[in-house]
Amino acid sequence: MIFSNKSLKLCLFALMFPIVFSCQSMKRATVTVGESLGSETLVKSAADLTPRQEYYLGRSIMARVMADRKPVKSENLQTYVNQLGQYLALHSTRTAVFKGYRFVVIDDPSPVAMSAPGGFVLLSSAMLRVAENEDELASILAHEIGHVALKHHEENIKAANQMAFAKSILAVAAQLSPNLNQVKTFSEAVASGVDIAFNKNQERDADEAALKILIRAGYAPNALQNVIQRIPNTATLLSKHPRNQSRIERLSKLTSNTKKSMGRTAAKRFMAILEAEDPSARSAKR
Amino acid sequence: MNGTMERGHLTPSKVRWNWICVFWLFTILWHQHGFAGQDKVVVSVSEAVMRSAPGFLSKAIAKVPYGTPVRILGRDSGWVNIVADKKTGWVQRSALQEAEYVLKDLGRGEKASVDTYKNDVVTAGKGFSPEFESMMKSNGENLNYAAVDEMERFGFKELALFKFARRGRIASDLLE
Repeated sequence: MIFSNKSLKLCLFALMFPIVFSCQSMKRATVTVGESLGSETLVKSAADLTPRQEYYLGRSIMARVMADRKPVKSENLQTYVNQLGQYLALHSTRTAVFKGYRFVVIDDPSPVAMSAPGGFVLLSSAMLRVAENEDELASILAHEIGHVALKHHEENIKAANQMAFAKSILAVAAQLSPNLNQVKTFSEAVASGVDIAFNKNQERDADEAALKILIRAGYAPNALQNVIQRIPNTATLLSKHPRNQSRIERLSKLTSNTKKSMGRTAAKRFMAILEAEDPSARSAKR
Repeated sequence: MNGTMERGHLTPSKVRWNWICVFWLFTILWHQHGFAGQDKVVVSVSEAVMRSAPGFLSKAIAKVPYGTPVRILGRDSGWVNIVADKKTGWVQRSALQEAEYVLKDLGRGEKASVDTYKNDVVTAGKGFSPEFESMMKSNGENLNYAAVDEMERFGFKELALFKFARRGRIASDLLE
């Protein structure tokens, strides 16, 4: 027998009503999480890494890449790229990452852009020079933000076993020669590292995410296809082999109805920043 | 002796009462389980800024640390109205995640995600963490964490970012 006293039973019975119904109503008030947060954010974290671990993995990847290639020593340039990148990230589907998005321009003569888990984005000085205006620079950064926002790193870490992924990236970076003459090796290495990370569908999705970011942030969406076209045909992140052309065609279709035009915005400050870094930039761009 | 006698003589009404009690007990447990399992949401960024209203330019009223449990009241596009640390306000939707992905970090059920690194160096078994970085540094690995620290210095408040856009005559949809 559970209870012997009849009055005690009645009391318990009476108490259980409010307990159970308060659970019900609380549950309603809380809504189901999926409904209230939106499915796009609550895509379950694909990897077994927590957000904090993602962040520390990202730091290690960046630390490896920047062991051989130093950031450009210009407070103005790094400030500018971070302001632009962080402004763009506010218009992505993942506005918050563990400690915020961070951007860096490294000194390297091959056009490279890459991102790491945790919201770290790296751009080479050569890639900066490929961009002809702020819209194009924004499009490169928006593509990388797209990878972070869509959690592509995490997806692939899961797919390839997180440690194998980390090792492959770190190993690629470790193979980099400090010799500046072997820059091609560097770009290829980073590109192949990125290849490990991103498949064709992910690149396409990051392109689409970039277009949305550009439009919402107020930049010209056709900047991305224009900048991809201009990247030299060496193996770099944004100029990927034969699919490069298909990406451009796809982007052209997607942006055919947009009214915004290229290079109309922020031209002066973009040129000023570039000029400060490389006096030949102005003449080259004209 | 008396007790034994009573247990031995269950009347139909006593049996009915027992079943009712068991039913309620199960109902409560089932609901409680639903709570803990599906609906638990926590802050998934280092520090979530709680604002008085949805929007990056709304007044910041609190900073809610990583792992803090939240109760959700509603949502508005990219923003979620929450109660956390006894305060009510709005945080960015991407600053929240299901507890099970975050709490692993905070002790319970921590998985050893990094057992080996290069030459089978055994790490602390805590995955990527400050301890992992210290170990890499002490091993003399070619890793430039100082450059990453330098990179992290460039964090800007949202107001500064919108001012940056306005200086370039860039029109954000968020301010329309």
